[in-house]
Amino acid sequence: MCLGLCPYIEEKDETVAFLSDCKAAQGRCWAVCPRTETDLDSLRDLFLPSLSDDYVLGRHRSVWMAQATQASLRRRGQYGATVSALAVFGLETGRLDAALLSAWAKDPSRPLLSKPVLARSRREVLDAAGSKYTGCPTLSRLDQAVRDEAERLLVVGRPCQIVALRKRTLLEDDSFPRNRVALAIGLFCMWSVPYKSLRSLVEPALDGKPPERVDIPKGQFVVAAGGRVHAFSHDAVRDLARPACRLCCDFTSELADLSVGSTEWKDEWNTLIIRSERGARFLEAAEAAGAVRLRPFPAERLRILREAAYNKKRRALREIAASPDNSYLKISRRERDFFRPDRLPEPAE
Amino acid sequence: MDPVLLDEPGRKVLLMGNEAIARGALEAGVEFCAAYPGSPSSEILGVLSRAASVFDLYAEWSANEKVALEGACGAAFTGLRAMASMKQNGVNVASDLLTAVALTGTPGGLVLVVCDDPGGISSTNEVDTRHYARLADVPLLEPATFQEAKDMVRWAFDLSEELELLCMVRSVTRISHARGVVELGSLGRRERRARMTPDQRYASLPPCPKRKELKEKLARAAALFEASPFNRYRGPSRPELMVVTGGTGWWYASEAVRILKVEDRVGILKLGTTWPLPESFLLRHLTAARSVLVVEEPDPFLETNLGALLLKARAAGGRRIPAVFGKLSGTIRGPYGPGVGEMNPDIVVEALRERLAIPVPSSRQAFRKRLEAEIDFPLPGREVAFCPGCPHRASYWVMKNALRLDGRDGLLIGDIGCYSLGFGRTGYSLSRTMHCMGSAVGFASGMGKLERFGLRQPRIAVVGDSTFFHACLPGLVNARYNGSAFVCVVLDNSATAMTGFQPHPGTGRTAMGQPAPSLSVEAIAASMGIPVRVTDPFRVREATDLLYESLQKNELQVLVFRHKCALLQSREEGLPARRVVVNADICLGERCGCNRFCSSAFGCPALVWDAGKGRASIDEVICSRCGLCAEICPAGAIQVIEETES
Repeated sequence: MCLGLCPYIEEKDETVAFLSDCKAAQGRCWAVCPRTETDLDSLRDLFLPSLSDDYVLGRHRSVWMAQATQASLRRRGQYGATVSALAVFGLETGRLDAALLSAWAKDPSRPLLSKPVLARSRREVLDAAGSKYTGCPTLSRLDQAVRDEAERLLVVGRPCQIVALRKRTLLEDDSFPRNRVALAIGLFCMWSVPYKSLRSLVEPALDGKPPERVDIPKGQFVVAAGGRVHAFSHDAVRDLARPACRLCCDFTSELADLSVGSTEWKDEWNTLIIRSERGARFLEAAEAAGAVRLRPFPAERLRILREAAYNKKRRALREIAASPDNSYLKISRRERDFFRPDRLPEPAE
Repeated sequence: MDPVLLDEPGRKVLLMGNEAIARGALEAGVEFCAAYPGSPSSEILGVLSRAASVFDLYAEWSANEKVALEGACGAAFTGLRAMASMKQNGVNVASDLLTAVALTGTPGGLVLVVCDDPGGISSTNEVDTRHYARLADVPLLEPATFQEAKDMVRWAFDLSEELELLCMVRSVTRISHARGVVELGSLGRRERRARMTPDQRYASLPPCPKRKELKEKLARAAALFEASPFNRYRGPSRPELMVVTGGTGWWYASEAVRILKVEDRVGILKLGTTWPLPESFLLRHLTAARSVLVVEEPDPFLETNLGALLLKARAAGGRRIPAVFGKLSGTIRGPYGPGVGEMNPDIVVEALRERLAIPVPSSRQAFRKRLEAEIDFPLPGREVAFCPGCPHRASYWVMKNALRLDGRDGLLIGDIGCYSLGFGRTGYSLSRTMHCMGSAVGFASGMGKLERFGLRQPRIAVVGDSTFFHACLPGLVNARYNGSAFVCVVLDNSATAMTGFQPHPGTGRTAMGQPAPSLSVEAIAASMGIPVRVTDPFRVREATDLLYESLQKNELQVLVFRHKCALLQSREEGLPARRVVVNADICLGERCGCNRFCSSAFGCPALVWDAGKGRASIDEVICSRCGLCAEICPAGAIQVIEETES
């Protein structure tokens, strides 16, 4: 997010760097960064009003299994291709005029590098389909996109990016037409790996072939490329995760309008969390138009989903508590109480 | 006509010290001159190269100082009169040959002119090269006046031929770069043919017999120095204090004696021949004094040698041995203490007050206090900086960005040239080392072998084009041979810019203005099997990507950043027909959020913050119209407006 706002900050190979020493104590980069102090309660009240708090999955209306109706989308997208289907539906019905997504950079010397794209058509959405698992700097295009290129923009991002998007929206800045962000779809994310780390581990095996699919089935990290499936140890890849991911409490993109992730169960389906009213209306229209189909989320799977989110938060809170350097990563007192060590396990719904 | 070249003996002209030195060589009929530029010595060969066609002599800018002295030796072996000139750092480079050729001697007059830089005004050190004369056992002359600068050089050739031994003349910044009246002598026009006869052989072997011969030559030099008109004493016959001095010290001592009005108490013994010492001359005068104060800069060279002489005299039963004061005693001390920094009259005045017990007048103390109170306000710091439009700023901007994007705390290993300023804020304080010509490559070559010890930081060795030819080639050969890994960035601005735009092997012309083959940095590097890429640092994005990609490869590479020096560009072609302006409608000033990116982060001196208007502005007086800032401005507020002829 900071990238598009500031000439002092640039990114290369998904590494963000301060190129010059800015003398500002707390500039806009500070204000929008998801890893600076963030008033989550205020953000929840602002973007997800009149919903009751849920410290595990975040405020939401309902949880579903979802998939794209069209098989052609499902072949390209991750699991049920729900995000691709929603993006295509929005663009083709005029509800959206652009979608900010991450696509492969198509650099033969960097097959696993991704780049932000502003998709305006089904073809461009499909081109960006599929999970990347690295930290694509999608939001570096946000300001330019809403300023000059899009009036009804869909932003798809990882949980941290959705937090940054919301913080950017709150920043008092005339140059940001905030009402042009029409919808924010957040992805589920346990961690992401710095591209450079993934590069040295995985890219030598790809022999320059572009990846067709990246996935994390049980115990593995697999990359399909050039007609072959390359499998790596899940733990080896997880060990490369960004240190900041260990401090992140947000598994399901709690501030998004809609959150989408894996079901960890049915490969043809996604988990979909409906949060905001705006998200609910959009989904309703997409379902009515036959772009996506929904199924009730089984209670047993919901328990597993909640457990995963709960455990990530517990791990992150332990990491945060381990160092005074992390004290700025605040959560509200009520939320903190909820995750007290003596309150195990999570109360069943 | 250039006064240095006038054929009018007896005419008095105003000459810079370095011009006087060149004139001395011309009067001596020098045939071969070679140098590597370096302040404060550069003008000597500049003058001689202009004189070359008039006097039918040969002048060259050599690739480095050792080669310059070797070339001069080559000419002197064939019987010609030859001179090499250089700054103090250059003698370090040439010193291996200096000690060797001292042992063999040459039949033709061979003079080494060294211009020292006490205080390091334009140098990375203040090495006192007089020690080299003692180290190599060669005679040393030190001019105190501009007239002496000319006359000593002229005589140095005679002396060298008489002794068949290299003779060293040592100037300093305040002689070389100041001007004074010089009475011209007759120009030496001689018919000489260069030849080596079959019996002429020169080798420094066997060392000991050669050294014995050398000591005998030195003894003959000392004998000649006894009667030298360059040594003289002025003052009372039995002074309370005798100042022994040479070179610039003579000016400072004379002024200090005048200021304190102690001419009746203090005598000044000026030495022009400072190695070997004219011992009898010295002892004759010294024993008449109650005590001695040695004034010289920067090292206590005379003082040490004088002390040794007096000890010898005492051992031989001498009486009336005076006490010696100076830097060793702490009597002569500047702001950095004794033996450090440049001399000036105030330092001598204070030493004389101390030795003669002259109190500081109360009026003077009061004045000083008043003065200190008056100037007790914070003066804005003015750091050294790259010129507006300097391609080195673009290169450092690119290197900074590439290193930061790389994110491994890469090391920028610096070298000697304009780009040495990269050590300061103008180069974003990137350079981690700066020592001597070519060392960046050698340092990086060593660091490039440290992975086994855990060094993961990528390395960039930064050298200039002239420096590349001067001293980088052995380092590159070494790195290639030993498999070291780093990126050697050659900042090719098509000039030896820092010393005054002298041509070098890559520029395609010689010191005498003749066309020459232009040696290609990339072809030389490629011939070693090193991957080479060339880019223009003004294409910031491309250059940054290129360097970034180079840093990702753990191998030796050469990257040439080629963009002509802005000063050279404007000299050759004038300023470009365009203006660079800040569009006041687009520059948001403090509201931009860029936090004055152009003037604070980029830092070109032509970019200024207009506090009145609250936005950026361009100082058109110093702007070179390079337009790079237009690329840097995040708002696109800096614009290049091409000026059409209409």
